[in-house]
Amino acid sequence: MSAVLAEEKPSVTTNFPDWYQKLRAKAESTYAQLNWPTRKDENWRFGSYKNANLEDVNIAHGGANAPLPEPALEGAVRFVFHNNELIATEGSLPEGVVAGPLADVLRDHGDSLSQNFPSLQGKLGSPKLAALHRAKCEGGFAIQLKTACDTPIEIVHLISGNDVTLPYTLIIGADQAKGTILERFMSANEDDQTTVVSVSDLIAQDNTQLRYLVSQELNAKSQFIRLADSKLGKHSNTKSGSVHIGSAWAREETYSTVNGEESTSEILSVTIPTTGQEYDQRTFQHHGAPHTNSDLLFKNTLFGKGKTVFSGLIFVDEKAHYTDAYQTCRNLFMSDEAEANSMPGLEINADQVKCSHGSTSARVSDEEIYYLCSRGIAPTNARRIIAQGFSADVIEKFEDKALETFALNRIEAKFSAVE
Amino acid sequence: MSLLIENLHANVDGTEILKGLSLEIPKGEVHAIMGPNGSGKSTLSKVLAGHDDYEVTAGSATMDGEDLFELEVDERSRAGLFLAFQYPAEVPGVSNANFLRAARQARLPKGEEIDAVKFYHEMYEKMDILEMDRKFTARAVNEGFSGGEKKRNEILQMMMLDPKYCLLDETDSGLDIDALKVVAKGVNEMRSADRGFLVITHYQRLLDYIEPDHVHVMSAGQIVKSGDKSLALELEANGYDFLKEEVAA
Ligand SMILES: Nc1ncnc2c1ncn2[C@@H]1O[C@H](COP(=O)(O)OP(=O)(O)O)[C@@H](O)[C@H]1O
Ligand SMILES: [Mg+2]
Repeated sequence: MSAVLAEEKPSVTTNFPDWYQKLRAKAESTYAQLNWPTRKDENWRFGSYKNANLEDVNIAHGGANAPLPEPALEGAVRFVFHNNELIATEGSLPEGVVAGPLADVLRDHGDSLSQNFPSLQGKLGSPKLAALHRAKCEGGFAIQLKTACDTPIEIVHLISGNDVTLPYTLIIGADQAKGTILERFMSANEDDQTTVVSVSDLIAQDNTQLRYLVSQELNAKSQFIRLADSKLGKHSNTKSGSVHIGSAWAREETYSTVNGEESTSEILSVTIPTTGQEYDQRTFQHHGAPHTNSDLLFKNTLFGKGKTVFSGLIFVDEKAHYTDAYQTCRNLFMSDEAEANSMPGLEINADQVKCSHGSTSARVSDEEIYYLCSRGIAPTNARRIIAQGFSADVIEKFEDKALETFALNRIEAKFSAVE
Repeated sequence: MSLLIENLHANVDGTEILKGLSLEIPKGEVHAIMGPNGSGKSTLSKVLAGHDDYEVTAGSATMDGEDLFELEVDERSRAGLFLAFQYPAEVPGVSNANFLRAARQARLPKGEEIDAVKFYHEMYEKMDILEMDRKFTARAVNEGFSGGEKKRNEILQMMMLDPKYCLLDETDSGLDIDALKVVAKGVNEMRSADRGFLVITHYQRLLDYIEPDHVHVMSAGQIVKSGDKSLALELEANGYDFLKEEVAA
């Protein structure tokens, strides 16, 4: 066993290598030049653009002691952060896997990255937030998989206080890498009004198979913003996605780029909003090379006055012939007062392309409920079983029993809480 | 001990469909109802199982003395009534195994958990009788099933839920002869002194495989004729035309 784990005390600013400090300084000036989103922003249509204005906020780093949540995945290596400060590591990583604070990983293993570190995100509406994030994020976490890693990696972000927390996660899968990563966002207290702006970059080089699930379980007063980029090389398969059951408002911008032939990016999401919750998701499936595939499946189950926004675009470059790209957003209404806005889209500039996109909205069907009742299942339970089945369908696409069990438990807990 | 229906009247959308129907199915017996399309056979089964579309305006139905109309749909099922639907619903996303498990769980006292190992063992045993592939347990309930698969699935549910009274609404329609035999095998497996069956069918063919103790003819919302198995053969030979004459007479 050789693992690069975190030091006792987390690194702070001074520990970043010079090249990275320069990127941060550049982000600082970019931040100053950009504007916050406005009502007219097409990327914020139907969305609560004002929530993204983080002018003059305090950035949190570290927090008081908080009890650790139960591990989510059996046998996982676990890293627990409290307001971006590493407070616990459990388990050990196999040979060929590096994981730890971003500064350490960049200093010790980041030479190859200095030339092509992921560029700033925010193309789907939040460039200013992306710049703020890079400029102000003092922590960050990086995982480098250089081989097949059977041990799942679990990252937990405990969040407390009323400031803004800026977690960053960098995942790099080198040639032949395989791995499963779960990242959870949880509130340490029920009453804090936290804002989390989380950024992640997933770089899948050739012949990789990565699974990456984000579980957003923040308290009902929090705000959550996530900017998630992924880039795939050749012959790779990535299953990445999120489950949103917490926070009052969550905004997620997912930008998937497939630049290598015979690669597939699967993008998955389950959200379950109820009264007082809004989930706003913007996605971009970018095909930059021939023979590339992407498949997006988002399912929202809306209770009470829950609200969702989905806006997605499949974009096929001129040279990206023989692309297969799919995009589906489905809304299941558990109440008449919920609101779902769907804006699917595609732009195809190549030939021999198979694409489809669509969104559907339906009420939970009386006929289905009746059928379950006719077999002795009580009506409230019948509704829940149907709704759970609707979400489970997405989770099963991860094809990972442990992730599946975890996610289905979270989903079940949410259903028990809302009905 | 019986399923007892007396002078039952029921409306759909304000139109009376059941017009004073009486029938008693004692435990241990298999009764068949035959009748032309539109005579109200499915309506009878839905009224007994319970459905919002149907309004009972007069009469009664009791199951071993318990008033069915006092119970909700799910309560009737748990009390021991089972209806194999003519057109079973599809439930995407919910696997057959989970569905059956939930139905079984619903029959346990609060706080008691189903024994999963025993449950699967039993389910596979019944599936073998019905010649169903194991893969079927992971498939969503009835989604994309052929007509025959849906009917087999109804019978599997019936076998797993161990009801006191079984209503089968045209379980034979849309089945080829092999599927029909399999379905009949399932039903015959379940015949016992403490279970009653009402088998609704349009054709007497099914009754070659599930031998009824009594046959009733339904027309315009009433039982117009009752007899033994030979009545079914008679209907097969002469059709339902006699109804018009008798009713007219
Ligand atoms: N849900 C319903 N809504 C409207 N009409 C119905 C409904 N169910 C049955 N009916 C009507 O009631 C009559 C009896 O139908 P049904 O019970 O299905 O007959 P059967 O099963 O004998 O063919 C028919 O005229 C049918 O159109
Ligand atoms: Mg019918």
